Amino acid sequence: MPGTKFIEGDTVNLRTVERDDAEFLKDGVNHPDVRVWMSNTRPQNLEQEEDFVDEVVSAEGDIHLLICKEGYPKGIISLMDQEEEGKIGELGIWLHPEFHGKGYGSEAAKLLTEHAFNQLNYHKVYARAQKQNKPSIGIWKKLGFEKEGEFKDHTYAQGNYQNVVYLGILQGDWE
Amino acid sequence: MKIKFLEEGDVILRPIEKEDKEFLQKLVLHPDVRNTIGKPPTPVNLKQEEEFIENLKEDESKESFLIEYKGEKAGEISIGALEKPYRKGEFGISIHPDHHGKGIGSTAVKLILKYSFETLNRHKVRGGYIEGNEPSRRIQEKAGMQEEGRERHYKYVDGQWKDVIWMSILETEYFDERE
Repeated sequence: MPGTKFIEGDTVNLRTVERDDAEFLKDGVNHPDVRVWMSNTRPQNLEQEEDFVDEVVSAEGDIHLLICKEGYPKGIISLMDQEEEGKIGELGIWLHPEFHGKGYGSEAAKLLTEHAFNQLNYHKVYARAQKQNKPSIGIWKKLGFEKEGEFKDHTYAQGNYQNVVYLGILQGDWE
Repeated sequence: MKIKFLEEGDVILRPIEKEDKEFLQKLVLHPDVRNTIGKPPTPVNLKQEEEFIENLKEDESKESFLIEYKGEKAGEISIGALEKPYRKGEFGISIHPDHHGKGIGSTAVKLILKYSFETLNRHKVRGGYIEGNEPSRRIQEKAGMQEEGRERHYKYVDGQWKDVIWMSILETEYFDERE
């Protein structure tokens, strides 16, 4: 059973990430259709995912939430402080490939961006994606994020160097 | 045997146990609660809640209680120290919205003031509420607390800065009232 509801949406809810979610996280981050886009190059076993919950999720500062629908996990979304003083955060998201293309990612991204600006008073949030990751770039563009730049050959995945795109939005430009 | 530390009517204040972590998590993350307390709205998982409870043991400047109403977990209240040599204290309270409107907050505040003055020998106790939180204002006024001042831009809620209004009661006022 997933954790306590933190943000409620129309279709998905964002819930706290608990130790019992390690199994789901393990299935996601090892999946070829997830890991290649995140440049995860090493396998992650259950204990490593439990450590992720205990040490990374439970640490002060960064926010990690499980994307759930009707009590079942679909993916994870994070807001990481890149510059505490400047109130600038980086958003990261993945969904288990079984749940791609249903709009869950877009809604989760909207809910956490809204929380960052309206409740936590962030100045700017941004996301990164490999240039070839069209669904991911689509999520951010649909929300009004603008492409700010492109880094050439910035990561190595799927047998090639890949360009990485940065997309961002300022608090004043949000809705 | 039912454990209790302070009691009035259907309301009991008792020590917080590790098993209370699920309840405390649901309490602090409830939208109607997290918008009225000092802590900014960031998620808290069970591991963090467990550490919070673990730290209560170590923290000698603060006493925390679970509020029970008719045997059900209803909220949390704590009394912390401000400038200890001056014997000043500050309390914080949250009641789960399922139990709002039953007078539990009023009774719990009354009990925490009794404990602060009659057991801990405090000189002054402070409380506060975020502007617009009328139920909290009423509870504190009913307990004999006076408005002390407004601290500007204390909390950011729904795209706006909110002020906190600090309330307080002195030991002389508490004991005069009790006479």
